[in-house]
Amino acid sequence: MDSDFGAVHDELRGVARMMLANHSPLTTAGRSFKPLDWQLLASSGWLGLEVPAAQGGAGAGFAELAVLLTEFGRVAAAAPYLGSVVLGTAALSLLEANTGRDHRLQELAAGTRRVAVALPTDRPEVGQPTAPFRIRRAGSVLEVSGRAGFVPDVVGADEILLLAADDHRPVLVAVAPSAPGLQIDAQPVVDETRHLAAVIADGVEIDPDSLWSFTGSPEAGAARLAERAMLAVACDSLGLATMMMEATVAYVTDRYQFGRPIGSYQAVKHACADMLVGISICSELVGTAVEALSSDEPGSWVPVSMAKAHVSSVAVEIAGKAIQLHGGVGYTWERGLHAYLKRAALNRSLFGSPIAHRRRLAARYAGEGNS
Amino acid sequence: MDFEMGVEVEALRRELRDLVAHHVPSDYLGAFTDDPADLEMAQGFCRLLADRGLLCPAWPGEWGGRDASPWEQAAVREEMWAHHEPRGAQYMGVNWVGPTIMRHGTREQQGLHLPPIARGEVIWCQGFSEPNAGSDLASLQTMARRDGDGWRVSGQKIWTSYATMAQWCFLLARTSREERKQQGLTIFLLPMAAAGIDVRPIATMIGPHHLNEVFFDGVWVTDADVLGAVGDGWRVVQEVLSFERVGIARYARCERLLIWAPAALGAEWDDLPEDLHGRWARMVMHARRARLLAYRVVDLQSRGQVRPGDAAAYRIAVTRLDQESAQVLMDIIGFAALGEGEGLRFRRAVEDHWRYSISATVASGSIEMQRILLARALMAAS
Repeated sequence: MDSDFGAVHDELRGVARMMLANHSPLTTAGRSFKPLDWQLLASSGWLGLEVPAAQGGAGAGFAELAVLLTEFGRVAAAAPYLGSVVLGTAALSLLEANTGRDHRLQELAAGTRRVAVALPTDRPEVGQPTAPFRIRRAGSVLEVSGRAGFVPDVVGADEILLLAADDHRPVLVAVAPSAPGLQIDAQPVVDETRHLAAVIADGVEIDPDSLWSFTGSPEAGAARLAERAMLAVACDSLGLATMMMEATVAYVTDRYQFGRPIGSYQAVKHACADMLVGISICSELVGTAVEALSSDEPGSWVPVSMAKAHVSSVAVEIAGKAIQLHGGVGYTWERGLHAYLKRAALNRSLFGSPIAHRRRLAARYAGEGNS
Repeated sequence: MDFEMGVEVEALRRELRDLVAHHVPSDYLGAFTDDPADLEMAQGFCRLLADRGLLCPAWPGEWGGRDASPWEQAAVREEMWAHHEPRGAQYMGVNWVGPTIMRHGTREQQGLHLPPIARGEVIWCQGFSEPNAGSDLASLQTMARRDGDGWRVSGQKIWTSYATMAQWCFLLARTSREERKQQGLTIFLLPMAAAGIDVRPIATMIGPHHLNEVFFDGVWVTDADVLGAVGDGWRVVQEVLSFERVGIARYARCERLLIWAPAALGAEWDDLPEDLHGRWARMVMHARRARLLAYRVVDLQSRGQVRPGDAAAYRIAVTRLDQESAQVLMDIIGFAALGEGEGLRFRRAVEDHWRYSISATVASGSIEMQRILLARALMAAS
């Protein structure tokens, strides 16, 4: 990820690594997946990275966010960051300016408000995202109905932003978790570090001031949100895979059997070398996608899908190999590697499985692509 | 490709499936959960099998079996593992502890241990691995020192499955220091109720109550508890490990879950991406290949011709199948809702299979060691 901001990114990475060092399941004996202190994230400026300075943020872009996301992946961080920051802040930023929006951005940056965004995720097909909710107008009354599954970080959010179709046009609707007719069903997944839920709206009445249009093309806005989600997951997988490689290299150097470090055996050496090759490729794919997304390139979905498909699947292999090379201790709770493998497995299927992304990429060559 | 094993085996298989259908709850995923009722169910199911002569049919009649063919025993292994092992920990006693005692035990040891195993009343654990003796098992340090007319055992074992519930431990300990580390090892049949034993559970991702550390602090055992000759433990253990490595019919659970997928997904099955259907079909075939390798080992074993490489080849195939099929099944459930009823049961079974499969290429000999073993056998033969 070479850019003019290289030094800034290095500094951000260095600070994040230092602050997060003791939060990895590898160092906390894997017993609890305690969420990171939200106020600490706020005071570090990490909640408002992309929020404009006028609303109390840092006015940075996705490239900076990507640095943090990779660091969060390294420590398998338990924090509602994906829902509230990666998607929430971005969703609001993509809307036409209004006071309600600006006020919310300010609160998000300060850490006094948390939101979740309900995008289509439970049928992990990719393409132009179809809004999982729809608006019904009966006279002056506005109602929203629909269902989205596996929505990140809904539980504990002060507000949920629903991607809804208003007469076929994608819009965002803000609803309170307690709104009558809104149901939130937690969906337990193998990954203990994150929380997903199904959001079901059955004729939830909405305030006309909570229905917002995207700036510019609503389809492009909705697609951009989806791409951010996919790439955020790829950054996470890159970070966790890198951590798995480092932990493995350290272990196989220390662990002796037959009077020599197990890392001196070719079967182990080759596996570590393969991890490094895999991570190098992933890192290039993520870098290219981050650049395309942050500079708003048309067709950015192509590098994003490539990164999501490849990185999320390689990370599962690397985490699996890491556990294998740790032998019995690899799957103990105390060692914490299992948290990484499960997180990698969830990343693989969240926001489009590798199959779905590859199919979409392949369709370009058949002349029926999405771009 | 279907495997005809003869009418007796097919009748036995039907009987076992019938028992599972009637006595094992449909959401059962193994005995070692946080719900004690699961273990109780498994204990009861063992007694039920024993009453019908189905716990160890291949054992000789004098030890509670009915001299059935090794194929009937294979059918028992398959049906039980396919249905998340409703015998709980008993498969160890039936598959290898019992047969090893038949082969190497004294009349007294046989009389003491075989009937309770055959009746499904006893749980055994295996005290082999130590923190610094995993792949390099022969370097183990747990010592049994001569003390009067018996022995005092001190040391530590690790990764001991079911140690919290076991009544007996099949323990490998060092009784003397010899030139080669494989020498001077002895097997003890040690009662877990003896003074000086401390069992500490190890929490793992494969499920609660599976693995433990076991500490021995001057535990007293007598000469009557020594299996085989003092100092001859390594040879017996090699035999045990080859039994153990074919002991679990992992392919049977893989195959059952794979075959269940279309029914569990219902209409959603047809909506799966075509390449996922392809990967699924490949896994079904992989499962049947692994089954053939298992049958080959059973056949060789029944003729006393099994070599270490044969068991290793089967194990490499079946443990990889375990992990690869788990991955394909996880991909399949990622595409489907499976929120209730049979669909939800399927989702839970697949997630359990995935978690458990992680240990397949490490437990009872890592896949790396299996490959070395196989390559060694291959090169020695050339």
